[in-house]
Amino acid sequence: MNLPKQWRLKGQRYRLEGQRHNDGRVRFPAQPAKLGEAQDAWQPYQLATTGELFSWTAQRSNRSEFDHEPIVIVGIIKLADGCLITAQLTDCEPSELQIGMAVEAVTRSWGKVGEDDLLVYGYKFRPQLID
Amino acid sequence: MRQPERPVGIVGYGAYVPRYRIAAQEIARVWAASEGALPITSKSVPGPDEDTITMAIEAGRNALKRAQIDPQQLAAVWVGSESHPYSVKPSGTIVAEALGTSRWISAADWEFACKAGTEALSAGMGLVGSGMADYVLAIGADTAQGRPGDALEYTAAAAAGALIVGPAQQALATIEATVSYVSDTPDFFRRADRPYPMHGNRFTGEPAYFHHVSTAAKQLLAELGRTAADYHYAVFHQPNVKFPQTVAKQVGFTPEQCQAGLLAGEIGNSYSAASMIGLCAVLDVAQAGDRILLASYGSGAGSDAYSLVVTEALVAARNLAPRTSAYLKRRQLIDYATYAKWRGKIVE
Repeated sequence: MNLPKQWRLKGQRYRLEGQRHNDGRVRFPAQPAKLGEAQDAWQPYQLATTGELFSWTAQRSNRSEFDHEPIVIVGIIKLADGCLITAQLTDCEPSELQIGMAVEAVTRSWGKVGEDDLLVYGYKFRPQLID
Repeated sequence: MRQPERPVGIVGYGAYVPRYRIAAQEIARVWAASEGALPITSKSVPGPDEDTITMAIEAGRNALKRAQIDPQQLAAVWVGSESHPYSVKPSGTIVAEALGTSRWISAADWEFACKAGTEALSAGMGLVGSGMADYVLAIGADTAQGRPGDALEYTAAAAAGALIVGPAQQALATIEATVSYVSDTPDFFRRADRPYPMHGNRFTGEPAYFHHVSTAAKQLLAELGRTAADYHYAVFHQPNVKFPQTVAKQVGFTPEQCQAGLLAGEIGNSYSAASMIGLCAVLDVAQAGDRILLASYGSGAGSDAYSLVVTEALVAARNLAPRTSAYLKRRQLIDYATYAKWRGKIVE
């Protein structure tokens, strides 16, 4: 189950927290400073929560933890701040997807861990809600 | 009647309704129900990756957008539900962490059947109204359970409503006053080890829902020296369509006053969220100066009633997050087999 690992990753999973370097580079997920690197060279940075669908694929043969979802759609999203992120798509069918369509981040269940069912939550993307 | 020393109001609000619906007709088809009138047209169903926590997070984010405050300014994140995913571990800390609040907050889960969310709202009025805090997020969210084939299965739905209580000067709608009325009435209950609740059929009506809701609403009107005619809108807890329509008539409201906030026909009974998203739907259309009566109901039993007045700030704020209608429009019907699988009704 590795409780400390699940706990440590919640910032990136819940809030898309990455890091931005003084020179403008962005990395996700956050990493510890490398040897010889200034401790404050990378600052916390929240990725944009909207973007467009850059590419996607539908997986129809999945591990048992996805058996409630016969089709799992995984996309690459070009975020509004220019970053590319890989994420599961939700609230959609493959027939509804088009490259370039607007998508937005939501927090959803990623599943259960361990025999006692620790619940894991994280980011997914869905077609942008039309108001 | 309770009125805080420091005037308070709703400074942000947000709704969330899942994309999926099952038609009441589809449930009736499987269970060979009589051809009598069904209590609703369809009900919302949480997707396979949704629960009370994920819905509370999205409703909370919408409320923060409209409040235009930093999540770090929240002093409390309170989640009312009867379907918290954990029996022991708060939903509130997960929701707070996802929203990006300070860690110096109160984060707790509230329970009172379908009025757990408005219990949090009343407590938020106390915290802000006493001057102990400036902003409190009160959420009502549920993925309600209904035994297969039971009358409850036609209506037990899913949604979340989030309200941020703050100073009246910043409010989108001020809260003039509130009352709470409770009694020990066993109309509906579920023990911790049981998967589905038990309800008292017709006993859930007159001595339970109608008595508590009408008593609370009439008491609030009487103490404020008002009648239903002084209000533009009324929102009542909505386990189906008929109950809120009937209690509205008992209190003196017309169907027109209740129409904007009556969502049960489309999405069913969203339990702790029901009256709160009804209020969200009204705030989506109300104008400055409009007066709103809100009355929740929780089995077991009790009702919280509130009198609100819309301010000039509402019209600009309502477009900062998706309106309730945006969630109602993205309607995807599913069949009973899919519903049964997603809701864990198929036992291996």
